[in-house]
Amino acid sequence: MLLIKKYTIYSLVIIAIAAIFTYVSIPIYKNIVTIKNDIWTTIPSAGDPKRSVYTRAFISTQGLFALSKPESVYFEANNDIEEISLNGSLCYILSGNEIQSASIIPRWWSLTIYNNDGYLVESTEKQYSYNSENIIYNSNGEFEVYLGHRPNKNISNWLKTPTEDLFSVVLRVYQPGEEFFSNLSRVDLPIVKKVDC
Amino acid sequence: MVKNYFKKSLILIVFGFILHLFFVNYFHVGMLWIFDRASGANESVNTVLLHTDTANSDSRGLKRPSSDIMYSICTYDVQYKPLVITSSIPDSYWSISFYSDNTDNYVTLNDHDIENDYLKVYLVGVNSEPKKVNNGTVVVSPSDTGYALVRMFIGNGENLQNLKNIQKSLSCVEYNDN
Repeated sequence: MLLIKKYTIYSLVIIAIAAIFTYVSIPIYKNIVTIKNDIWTTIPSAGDPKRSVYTRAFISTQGLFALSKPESVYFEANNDIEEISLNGSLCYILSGNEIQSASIIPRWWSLTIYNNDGYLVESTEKQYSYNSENIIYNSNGEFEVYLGHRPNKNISNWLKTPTEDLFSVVLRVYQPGEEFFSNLSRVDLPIVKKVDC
Repeated sequence: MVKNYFKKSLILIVFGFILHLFFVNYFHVGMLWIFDRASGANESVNTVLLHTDTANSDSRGLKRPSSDIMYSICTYDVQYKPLVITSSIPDSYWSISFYSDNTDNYVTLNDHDIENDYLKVYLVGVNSEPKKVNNGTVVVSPSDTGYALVRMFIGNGENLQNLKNIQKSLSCVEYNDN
């Protein structure tokens, strides 16, 4: 009886150690394999069959069915340009130019806001994202998206942020071309700046 | 005494690390199990599992859904028989991505890859290659089971009704070549 109790405790300790290793290692591994581009991070060819088991495990936590090169690349921003976490109690302006590398324009792209759980943020306007076809550009060819609770009269594009919770912005770029994939850390991507609400 | 305690701790850590590798290797299985239970994928194989409308804040099928894409999913089991997947193709971005049972994206075909705006794919398993195929693309699945995921770009939403009609044209049926 004492022996069973002893080995049960050992088993539980082993499971606890394994759980701790897993809990700690997946985010660490994410930091190792991700490419950083200013505020954005990306895992190149996230759905690739040649990816490591850690990448597969991490992607499983993010949405299971990721695409691979050359079809699409996903970027995620959790911080503003001051490296401070995006927070629903604050307001931001996301601004950028046409997303492309050299002369190759991607097939399409989109910018989507997700709450801390990875789901779309509740919005009575049902505007959860903007894409390359429905975003409104300024007269100088750039675009701005206001990220806040209420619309901003000076900015045409508005995405509602969650109330007092962290959030993230995901940029999907479809068929961006080989050069884009070769310059994931250098391509010109939008920036997110904190502004007064 | 201290040496013995150290030795025991080291053995527990080594076993814990081995179990951790097992956890990581099969992490996707747990996530797929949750997805299958939520979507009913475990009960409907070799058919169109679901068509999604545009995703909204109530969408809970998958994490990080895109509200710019309409999705359709076929779950498949091609251990004994191939699957024939057919669909109309819109003028805008459309793709079908094949995922093995460990969620690896082993093939993607998009609207630029498909001739005549009509998709016909014979999805075959390693041991279920058909004797003959007519006018279609053969895709070999590295695993007996998996998922075929269709993505359609909504764009500015002007063509939504047409995209919905095209979405309904998707068919996934077992192929009998006898």
